[in-house]
Amino acid sequence: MARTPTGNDRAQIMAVAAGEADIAVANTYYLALMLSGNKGAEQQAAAKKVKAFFPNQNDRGTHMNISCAALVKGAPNKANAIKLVEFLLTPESQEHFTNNTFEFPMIDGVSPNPLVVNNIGLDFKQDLKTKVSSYGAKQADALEVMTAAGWK
Amino acid sequence: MAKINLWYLTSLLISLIVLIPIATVSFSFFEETSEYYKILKDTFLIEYILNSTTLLFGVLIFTFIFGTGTAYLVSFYNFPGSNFFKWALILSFAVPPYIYAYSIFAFFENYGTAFTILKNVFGEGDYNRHIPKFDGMFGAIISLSFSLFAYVYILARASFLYQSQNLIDLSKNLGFSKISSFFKVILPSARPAIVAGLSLVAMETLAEFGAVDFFSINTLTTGIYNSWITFDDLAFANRLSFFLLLFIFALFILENLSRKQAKYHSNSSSRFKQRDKYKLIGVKSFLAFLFCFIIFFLSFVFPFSQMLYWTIIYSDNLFDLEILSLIYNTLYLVFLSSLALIIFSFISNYGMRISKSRPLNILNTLSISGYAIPGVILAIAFITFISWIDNSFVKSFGFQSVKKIFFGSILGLVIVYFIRFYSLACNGIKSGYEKINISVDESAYLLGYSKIKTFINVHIPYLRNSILFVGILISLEIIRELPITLILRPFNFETFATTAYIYASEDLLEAAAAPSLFLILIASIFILSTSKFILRD
Repeated sequence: MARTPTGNDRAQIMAVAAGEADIAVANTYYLALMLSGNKGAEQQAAAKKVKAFFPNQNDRGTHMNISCAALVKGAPNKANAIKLVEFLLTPESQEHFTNNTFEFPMIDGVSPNPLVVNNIGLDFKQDLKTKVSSYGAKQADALEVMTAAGWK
Repeated sequence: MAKINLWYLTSLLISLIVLIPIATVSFSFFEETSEYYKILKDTFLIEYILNSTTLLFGVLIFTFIFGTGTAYLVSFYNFPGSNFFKWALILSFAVPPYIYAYSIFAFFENYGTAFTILKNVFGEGDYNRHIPKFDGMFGAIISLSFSLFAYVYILARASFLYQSQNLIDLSKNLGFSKISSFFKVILPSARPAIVAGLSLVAMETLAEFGAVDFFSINTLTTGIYNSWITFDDLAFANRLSFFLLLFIFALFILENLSRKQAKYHSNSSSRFKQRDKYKLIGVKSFLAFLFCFIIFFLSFVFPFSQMLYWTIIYSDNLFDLEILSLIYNTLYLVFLSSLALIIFSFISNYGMRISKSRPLNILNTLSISGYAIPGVILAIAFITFISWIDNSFVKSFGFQSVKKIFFGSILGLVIVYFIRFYSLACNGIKSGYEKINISVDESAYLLGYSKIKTFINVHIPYLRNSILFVGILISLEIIRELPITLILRPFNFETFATTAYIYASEDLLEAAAAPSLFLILIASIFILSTSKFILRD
C-alpha cells in the first residue's frame, strides 16, 4: 500500500489526486459530492483529477454497497414500519436520496444525479450473484483474508 | 466489627457497584469467544499492545515537556503575558483529543486548510506533497499531548508555587546554576505532583477512544469497542479488557516501585516564605513568552480556529444541527450525574467523618478505582453484568427482562458515569472536608445541633466551593465523554460529542465542526468560571 490506511473516503480520493497513490478504494458518491462543489473549490478541482473505475467487469461484476431498510422482529408498530419503508421507496423519496447523497436509486424510473451519470457513468456490471444475506455468514472468512493481506 | 448503619450500607453499595466492572471482566476471561478472536488473536493482540505502549510513552514524554516547561516558566518568572498564560493554558482542557484530531487532519490533509492558505498567498501550485502529514500514530500522540498536558501543568504549577524559597536559596548558595537547580532541586521535589499529573495522562491515554479511532490506530481500547460493535463478540471484548486492566495495574506497580523509599515533605505553612518571581529580560524573556505562546496557540487557538473556520464556511451544517436539543441533552446528563455523584460522595464522606471506621475506609478506597478503568471497559462490563443478571436470575424467576431498563437508557448511562467519575467527586468533597477541623463539629454539637443540622447548617456552607468545583469537573468530563455515551445512550439521544463523532466517522468532517465548536465553547465557559479554584495561589 502507498501509505498506512488513514482517513475516510474523500481522504483516499484526495490522496490519489495529490499523487500519493495510484488507486484507492472508495464509495463513488463521495466523488460526486466532491464534484458538486459543496465541499469547496479545492475538493472540486481534486475530484476532476481522478476517475471512477469499476473492477471485476469480466467476471460477476462490481460489488455495490446497499443502504437497506429492515424490520425488527417483534416490532410493536409493524404496519407503520412497512408504510415507512414503502414511503422511502417512492420516486419522490428516491429522488431526494439521489440528489442529496449522490447514491444510486433503488427503484426503476428514477435516474441518478446528473453528476453521477456524466462523471461516473452507469455503464458497468453490478455483482448480482453474491447474495446480501450471505455477508453475515462470510464475515469471519472475509476478515481472515483481509488480515492475511495485511489490511488494518 | 463495624456498626451496621446507613453510612456503612451506602459505602458498601457504592463500592460494590464500582467493583462490578473489574469482577465482570475477570470472570468473563474464560468464556468462549467467537471465531473472530481466533483470527485476530495471533495477528492483532501483539499489535494492540505495542500500539497502546507506543502511544502511552509518546504522550507521556510530550505532556511532561509541555506541562512542566510551561508550569516552571509561569511560576518562577515574570515575562510579557506570564499572568495571561497562567490561566489561558488550562483552556486546552476544553478541546478533547478527538476534536484536536479532527482539526489537525483538516488543516494538513491533501487539499486541506494549509493548502488553501498556501494557494491564496502564493497562487496555484502543487503544495500537497510539501505539506507534512500529521496522521497515524504521530497525529494521535500530538492530539492527545496537546489536549492532556494541562493535567501535568496544573499539578506541577501547584507544587512549584509551594516550593520553599529556602530550598532554592540553598541551591543558589551551593553554586547551582538556574538550569542545574531546576534539574537537581526543583524538578525532584515536585516529583510527586508531576507523577500524579502523568498518571492521570496515562489513564486518559489508555482509555482514549475517539482520536485513536479517527487515526485508525488499533489499540486495546479501540479493539474492545470494535469487537463489541463490529463483531458483536462480548467475550472477546472482555478478554481484551482484561489485558488492558493488567496493563494499567502494571503501571501502578511500576510507579510505586520507582518511588522506592523516597519521602516527600512539604514545608510547614508557618515558615512558608512567598517566593518573589524573577523578572526575565531581553532574549530570555522573549523565549519564555514564545514557548508559552506556542503551547497555548497550538493547544487551544489552533483547534478552535479550525473548527470556527469550518463552521463558518460550511454554515449549512450549523442549521441542520438541533442545537437546543443538544444543549438540553448535554446539560441534562451533566445535571443528573453531578447530582447523584455529589449526593453519594457526601454520604460516604460524612459517614467516614462521624464513624471513623476502618472497614468503611477500605471500602471507600476500593470505590474510587473506577477512574482508572477506561470508559469502554466500563460500558462493556456493565452490559455483560446486566445480561448475566437478566439471564440467570430475572428470567428464571419468570420476570420480564430488565435489559430495557438499563441499556439504551439514561439510567444506565448515569450509573456508568457514576462508576467512572466517582473518585473525582469523592476526592473533591474529601479534600474540602479535611479542611474543616473536627472541633467545628464538636462545637456545633455542644451548641445543641443535631447531626443533620450540623450537616446542613455547618458543613454545606463550608463546602460550597468544593461542591461547585467538583460539579464543574464532572461536567467537563461528561461534556467531553465519548465511548460510554456512544455505547449506552438511548436511540436518537445525541450530545455534542456523539454528534461530532458520528459525522466524523461518516466522512462528513466539515459537519462535525459545528458540534465540536459548541463543545469547546461550553467547556471553555465551565473552565473560565472555575479557573480561580483550579489555579488557587
